[in-house]
Amino acid sequence: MYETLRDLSSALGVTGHEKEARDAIMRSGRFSDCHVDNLGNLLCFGDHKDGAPTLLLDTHMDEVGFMVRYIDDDGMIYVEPLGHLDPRCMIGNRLIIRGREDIEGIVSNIPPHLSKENKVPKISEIPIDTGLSKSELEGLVEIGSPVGFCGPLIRLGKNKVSGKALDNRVGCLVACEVSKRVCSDGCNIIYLFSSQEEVGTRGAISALKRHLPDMSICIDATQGDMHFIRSPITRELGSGTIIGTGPNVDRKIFDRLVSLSRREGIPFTTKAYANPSPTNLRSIQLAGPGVPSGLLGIPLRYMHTPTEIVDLRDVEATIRLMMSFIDDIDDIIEGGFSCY
Amino acid sequence: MKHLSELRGISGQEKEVKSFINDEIEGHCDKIWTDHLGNLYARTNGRSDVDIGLFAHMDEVGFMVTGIDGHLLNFDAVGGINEEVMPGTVLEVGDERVPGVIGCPPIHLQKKEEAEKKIPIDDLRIDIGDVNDGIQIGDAATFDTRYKERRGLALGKAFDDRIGCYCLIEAIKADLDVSCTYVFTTQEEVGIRGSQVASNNLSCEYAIACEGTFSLDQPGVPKEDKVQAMGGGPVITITDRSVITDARLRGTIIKAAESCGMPYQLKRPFTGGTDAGMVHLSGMGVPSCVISTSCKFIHSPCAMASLEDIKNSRRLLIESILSVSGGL
Repeated sequence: MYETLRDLSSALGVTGHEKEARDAIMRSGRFSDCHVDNLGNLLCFGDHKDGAPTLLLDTHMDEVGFMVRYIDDDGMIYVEPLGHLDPRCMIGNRLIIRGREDIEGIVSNIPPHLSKENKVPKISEIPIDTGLSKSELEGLVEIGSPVGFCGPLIRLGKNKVSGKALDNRVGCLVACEVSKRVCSDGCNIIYLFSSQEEVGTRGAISALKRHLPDMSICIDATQGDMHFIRSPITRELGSGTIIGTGPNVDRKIFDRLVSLSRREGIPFTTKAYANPSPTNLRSIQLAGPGVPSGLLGIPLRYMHTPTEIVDLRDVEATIRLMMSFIDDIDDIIEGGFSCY
Repeated sequence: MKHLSELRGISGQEKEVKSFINDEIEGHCDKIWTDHLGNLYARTNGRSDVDIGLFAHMDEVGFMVTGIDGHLLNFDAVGGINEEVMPGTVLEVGDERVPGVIGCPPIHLQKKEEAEKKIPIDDLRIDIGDVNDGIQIGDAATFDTRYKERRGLALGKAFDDRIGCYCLIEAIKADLDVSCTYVFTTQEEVGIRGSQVASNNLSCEYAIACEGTFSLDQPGVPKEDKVQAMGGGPVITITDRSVITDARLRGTIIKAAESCGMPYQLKRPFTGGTDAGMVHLSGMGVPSCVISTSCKFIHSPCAMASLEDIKNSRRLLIESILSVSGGL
C-alpha cells in the first residue's frame, strides 16, 4: 500500500492540471473501463451488472498548488495559489515548475544575516527563484504553467507517512484498493476521481451530469490532530475512519456505516457537519433528483502543506468499511432511503 | 560536492565530515592531525618562502533536539536559521537518520490575524510520527536535501561551507609544493569557535579562509546593497563583520584572478563573519583574506550556486596559494 501511495502522492496533479495524477490512478487500480471527461475528471468502472443499482465512489485527485502569474526581468517567477494555501509553509521550500520540462525553483528567502522583517508576505508577492534568467526561461515556462510542492513520500514511524498531495491521494488510494478487492455482484461501481475540487468541487459538478448514481460515498482527507490547534473538529491519527453526518449525509447510510463498523470491529469516529461538508459531497448530493450519500474521512495532519501526514491504518480501516458496505448493499437499498 | 553537501555535521557534531575529508586528502599531505575542538589539520611541506594557513569550516547550520514529547520533538536552531524557512521541511534526526517533518498549521483552522504572523520556533515541533526510543535530547537534526546539478547550477544544503571544504581539498590534491597548513574547522556557525583554538595552535605568515557566502542579488535587497551575486565569480572580501582584510594579500589575490581572466567581486558589507576573523587576530597578527563563493539561500533547506563560480573559486584559491608562496 505504501508503494502505491508513493506513486499516487508523487504525481503532480495541481488543480486543473491532473493528467499525471490520472495516469498514476490508472496504474494503481483495477478497472474494466476508464474515461476522461471534458473537465479532466477520471471516471473508472468496475464490471457491469445489468439491473444492479449504481454506487458512485467519489474521491478528488487534484492537489493544492500554484500557477505561474508573472515572470519579471530578473527571471523571478511569481505565482497565484490554486486552492487554500498558507505562504508560511512555502518559504525556503522547493517547488516544481512544470513547463516544457520540470524545473525546480526555491521559494525566495533572505538569509538570517540580513533579514529584518517580521511580516508574512502574500503568496502573490513571493518570488520563486530558479537561478535561470528571463531569457533562459523563455520557451520553458509560461504564464499559467502549473507549480506544485516537491515529493517524495517518506515513512514516519511505524504506520505513518508524510508528503504532499495526501489530500486527497489517500482517498484515491482507498478507491484503487477497493477496485482491486471488490468481487460483489450486488452493484455497479463508478469510481469518480474528480478534478478541481480545491477550487470549489467543480469537477464533481460536471461529472454528475453525465453519470447519475443511485447513491454515493465520498472519501476525503479530514483535519487530523496536531499540537498547533486543539479543536473538537480534528481527529486523532490512527483512530480509524471518520464517518460524517449532518444535512449533507443520508441518515440511513450514516447509520449503516456506523453499524457495519461496529459489526466488523473497524475503528471509527464520527464527525458532525452542521453545514454542507467541505468536500465534493456538497455538490454530489444535489445532482439530478438528489443523491443519497455517505461521507468517509481519513485523518490528515498539517493539511495543504508539503508535509501532510496520514496513518496507513486509517486508510485500511476506510477500505474495510467500504468493502463491507459494498458487500451488504442490497440491504441498504431495500426499503428505499430515509433522507430527511 | 555531492558527498560534501549531503554529509551531516551541525556545529559540534562534525565527525562525519571530518572522516570524509580525512579519507580524501590522505596521501597528499605530510601530516594530518586533530585537536580538542575537533579541527582537522593537514600539513604540506614545500619549497616556499612563507607558510600559509588555509581555513574552511566543516560545520553546517541545523537543529538540535531539546525536548521529547511522544512523537513531537522540541528543537533549537544551531547557527542562524530564519524561523520562516522551517515549517513544511523534511529533516533527518539523530545518528539513525530518523525522518521527521516540521509541520505547519492548516490555513483552514487559522484566524486571519494568526496567519499573518510568522510562527515562532517555540511553537514548532519536529514530528516523527511515533514515539522513538532511539532519539535523545542533544541529537542533531539536519535538512534532508539531496544534491543536484542542472543547467550550470548546483542545488543542495550546507554550501556554507562545504564549498570552502571542497576548494581546500582540491588545493591539497593539487600537490602544490608550498608549505601550507590546511585547517578544516569546527563550530564556525556558533561564533567562530573552532578556528579560535586552531589559530592558537598554528603559526602562519598569511591566512586565507574559503567560504560559501550569501548572494545579495535577490528581490528584497536594496539595489545599492547588491554587491555580490551568484554567477559573478569568486568573492574577495574587503571587509565583513569580523575582519578588514590585509590590503597586500587582497591585492595579490585580485591580481591572481585578473591574470586568470576570471570574473571576481568584492565584498564590503559589514555583515557575516568567517574564520579569518579569528585567525587575523592570532599571535602577533596574521595578514588574512577571504575567498568566497556567492550562493543564494544559504542557511535554509536548499541553497543554490553556480558551478562556474565554484570552479573559479577552486582555481583562484590554488593560484593565490602559488602567488603568495614567494612572499608579498
